[in-house]
Amino acid sequence: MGFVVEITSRSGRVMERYKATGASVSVGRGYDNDVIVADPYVDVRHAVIEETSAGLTVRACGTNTPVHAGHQIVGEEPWPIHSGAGITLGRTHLKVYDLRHPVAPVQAFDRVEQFFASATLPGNIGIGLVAFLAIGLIDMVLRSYTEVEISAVLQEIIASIGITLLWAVFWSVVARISRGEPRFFHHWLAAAAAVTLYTFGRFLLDVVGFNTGSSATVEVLSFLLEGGCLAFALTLNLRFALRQTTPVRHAWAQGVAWVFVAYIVMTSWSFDDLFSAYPDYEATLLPDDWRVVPSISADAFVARSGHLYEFPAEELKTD
Amino acid sequence: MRRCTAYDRPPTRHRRGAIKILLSVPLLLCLLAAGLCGVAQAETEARRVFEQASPGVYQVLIVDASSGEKSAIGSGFRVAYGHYIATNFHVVSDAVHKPEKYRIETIDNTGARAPVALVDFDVVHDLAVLRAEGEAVSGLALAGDELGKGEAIYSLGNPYDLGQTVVPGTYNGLLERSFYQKLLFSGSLNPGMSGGPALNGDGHIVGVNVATSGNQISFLVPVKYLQALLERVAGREVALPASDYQAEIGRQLQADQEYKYALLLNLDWPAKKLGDMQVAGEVSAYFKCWGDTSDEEDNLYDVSESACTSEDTIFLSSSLQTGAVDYQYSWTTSDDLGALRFHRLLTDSNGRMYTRNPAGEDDVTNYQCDVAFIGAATSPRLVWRTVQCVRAYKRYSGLYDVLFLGVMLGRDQRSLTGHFALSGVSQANARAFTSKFMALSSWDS
Repeated sequence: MGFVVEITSRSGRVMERYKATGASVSVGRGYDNDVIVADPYVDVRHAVIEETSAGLTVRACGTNTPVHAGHQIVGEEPWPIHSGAGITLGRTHLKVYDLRHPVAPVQAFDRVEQFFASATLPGNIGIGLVAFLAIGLIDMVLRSYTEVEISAVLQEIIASIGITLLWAVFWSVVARISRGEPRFFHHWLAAAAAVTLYTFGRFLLDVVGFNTGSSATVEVLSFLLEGGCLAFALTLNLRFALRQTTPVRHAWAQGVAWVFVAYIVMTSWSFDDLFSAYPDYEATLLPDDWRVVPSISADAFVARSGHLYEFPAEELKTD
Repeated sequence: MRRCTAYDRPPTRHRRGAIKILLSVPLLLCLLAAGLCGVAQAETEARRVFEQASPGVYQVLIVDASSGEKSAIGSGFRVAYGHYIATNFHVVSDAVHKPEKYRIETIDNTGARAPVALVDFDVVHDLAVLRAEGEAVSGLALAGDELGKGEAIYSLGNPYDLGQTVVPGTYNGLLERSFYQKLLFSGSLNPGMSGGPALNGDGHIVGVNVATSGNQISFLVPVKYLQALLERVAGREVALPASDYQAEIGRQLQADQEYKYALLLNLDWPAKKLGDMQVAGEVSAYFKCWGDTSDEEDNLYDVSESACTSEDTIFLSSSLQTGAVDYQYSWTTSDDLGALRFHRLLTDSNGRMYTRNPAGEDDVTNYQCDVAFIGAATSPRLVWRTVQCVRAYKRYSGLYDVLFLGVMLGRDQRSLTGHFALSGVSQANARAFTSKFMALSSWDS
């Protein structure tokens, strides 16, 4: 009949597959094994998986580190296992299937994914570039609206959805080029989650700015929020599009986001020293219910304003 | 012939009318002649005043020391007996602020060019006195009598570097809505004429050219301020040293703002109603107030605004004019917006505040701001989010630009915003003004 041995990650993701050509398969670090694993905790010849008339079995080859079949430690006597059972040797995880084991049905692309999958490479690149430009244009239009008119709010929501969709289109193209599967919905979900996080974070910052009046601090925090959301979205998009799964592998992606944030924060700090004809006091106003700072009297406000008239000597210097 | 028969007819009503017309023609001719005579007389007077005053009128040049070329021009005139030439402070301000870079020269009506020295100035009234070298000569005499409205005035100067010009016009009284008296001159002053003399029909100085608003609306500094400056100059044994210029400007600005704010703070500010609130009305005649209300039915919100500004600013340099006092209110209401959207509207409406003072980096520091929630003692539900921002003058110690913004957090989507901007004010006066401003606005319902 025959059987298949899979090397998987701890979470069960398949790393390698080996199809047995005989009745037994040896597993170990030695090069004469049928399944060779590069795990230092695995012996040169560690275990043997066999197919008998009674079914699949596994046995250890007298090694120091144990062989587990499920929760059972397996000795040198063959231990029966069922198709799909997990075996652990050292830090290596295996799964064994007989050839009659049912295989999961094929998953179809959705329409959008199908569209990108069927498009040519230059076509995908063209769509990606157009999407990228459209993101910039919509963002520009978005910033020109105020939020007082309800139509503007709707436009903003529509524009936000549009931006996330276009963002997903862009990454679908990258995914299509990189690994042949676009995964559009995943990319859109990542972008939408990032936008939602940013929107709520921004509102919290407005509350902070309203109460403290420290617009400079709020500005820096908002850059950090932007960077965080960008890093979050990029990490997921890169994971979906390029299979960048380990922290080390996608650290460079987050690095790009955080370098971007650091640059903006440093730039805004350097602007603090520059002359401005307007005071830096702007903050979003909210109803009194959102106030957590106690109010003071007008007299107390005037009395404490003396410090506003004290300027460091170096600021008063003229060129 | 038709004309003859007409003469043969007995006098009818029409004929009597024709005779009247014929008789009135000489009268009209006489009136026309009198008008022409008047114009001719005015022309003659302008010519006489010009010829009489012209030798005492100069073009004032601010000369770049490096290139030797002029960088700014104005006018000036010999005054009293001696060496003194009067002009505007703003004409010579570059030389006041950068004496190492600029020097002052004059050109008389013969084209002779000569260096002059700055002796003293009055920044508040925009006057300066220069001293010419050489022999003492008689200058133009100062007028002693009060002017009457409608009296003819002749302004002299060098507009656009085109040569000496006389501009006839009319005296139209003193500016009433101004902290500092100015004469309203209905005549066309043009750039380059600043600092030139304005003379009455006798050739006596009644004012000094200083500003224009176009369309024959021009302003003169009354001669009494020049008289006061000349008396101070006469009391001085030596000219003001260049190293003391900044300190002297600072002293004059301090004295001026003390005078101005003493006047304002001692007044009982009239209250007026804006929406449901009491706000300051026209605090004094020195302010001009304007108002507007949005009344479109489709609006999601309504705004009533009231803004008052003082007309006066003091010119210190091209980048720094000071002395303005502005305050304004806006009353915003909405039946259609929710609380968050209404406050977003308030955020957008109050996104930026500023003074009318276009100061530069060399003139002032950056702003320092303080934010607080101020609770009204009489109404616990009434809370103002208040911001006060201050920046200091770098060259004039103890003077500041002060901005204040108070937004009443919307009570049932009704809110008042109060804002004022003071430029060139001391700390004590700014704080007193702030107290008085905040004390006035109160809930009226």
